[in-house]
Amino acid sequence: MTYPDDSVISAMLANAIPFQIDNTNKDAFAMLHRLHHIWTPDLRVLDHNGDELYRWDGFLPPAEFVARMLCGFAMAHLRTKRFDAAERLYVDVLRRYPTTHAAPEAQYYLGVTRYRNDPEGDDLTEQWQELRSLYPSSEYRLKQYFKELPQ
Amino acid sequence: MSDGDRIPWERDYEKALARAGSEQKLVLLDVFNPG
Repeated sequence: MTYPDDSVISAMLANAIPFQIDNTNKDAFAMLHRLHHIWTPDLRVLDHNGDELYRWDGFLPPAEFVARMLCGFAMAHLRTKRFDAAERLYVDVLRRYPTTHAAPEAQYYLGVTRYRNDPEGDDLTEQWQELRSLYPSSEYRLKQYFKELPQ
Repeated sequence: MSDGDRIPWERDYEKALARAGSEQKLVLLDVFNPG
C-alpha cells in the first residue's frame, strides 16, 4: 500500500535513486552481512560513495513513510553540510506532514540546520520554542529540555 | 513492501551509486523480503 502511492513515488524519485535488495537472494548475503541487516523493510539513505547517513525500518503507511523518508534525506544533507537542501526538506515535512511521527524530528533539526548554517542567528531557539509548543510530548522535546532548565 | 509498486528500482549497487553521483541525488536502499 505504501510504494504504489503517488506521493511516495514523487518524493522518492525527486531526491534519490531507489535501490532494492531481496534479502532471500544468496548473491546479496555478503552485502546484507556488511549492512548488519536484521529486519524488513530495512531502509537506508546513502550518499554516492555508499556511506550510510540515515536508517529506519518497519512498515509505515504512505504519509508517515514520506515524512520519515524526507527527514532521512534532510539528515543526509545536513550531515554533509548541504544546509539549504536540508532546510528545504525539513520545512516541507512541517508544512505538508505536521501531524506525522517524523514531524517533531523535522522541527528539532530545522533548528539545528539553521544554527549550523548561521551560529550567530536565533533560529535554534525559535525552532525549539515551536517544538515545545507543537510537540510537547515528543522525544525531541526532551532533547532540548536543557534549554528549559533555569540558567 | 514490494507490493506491485511502480518505482524503478535499481538492482545493481555500483550502478545505483554511479547514478546518484551523476544525478546529484542520494540513494534510498530498501532491503525487502518477498514473502
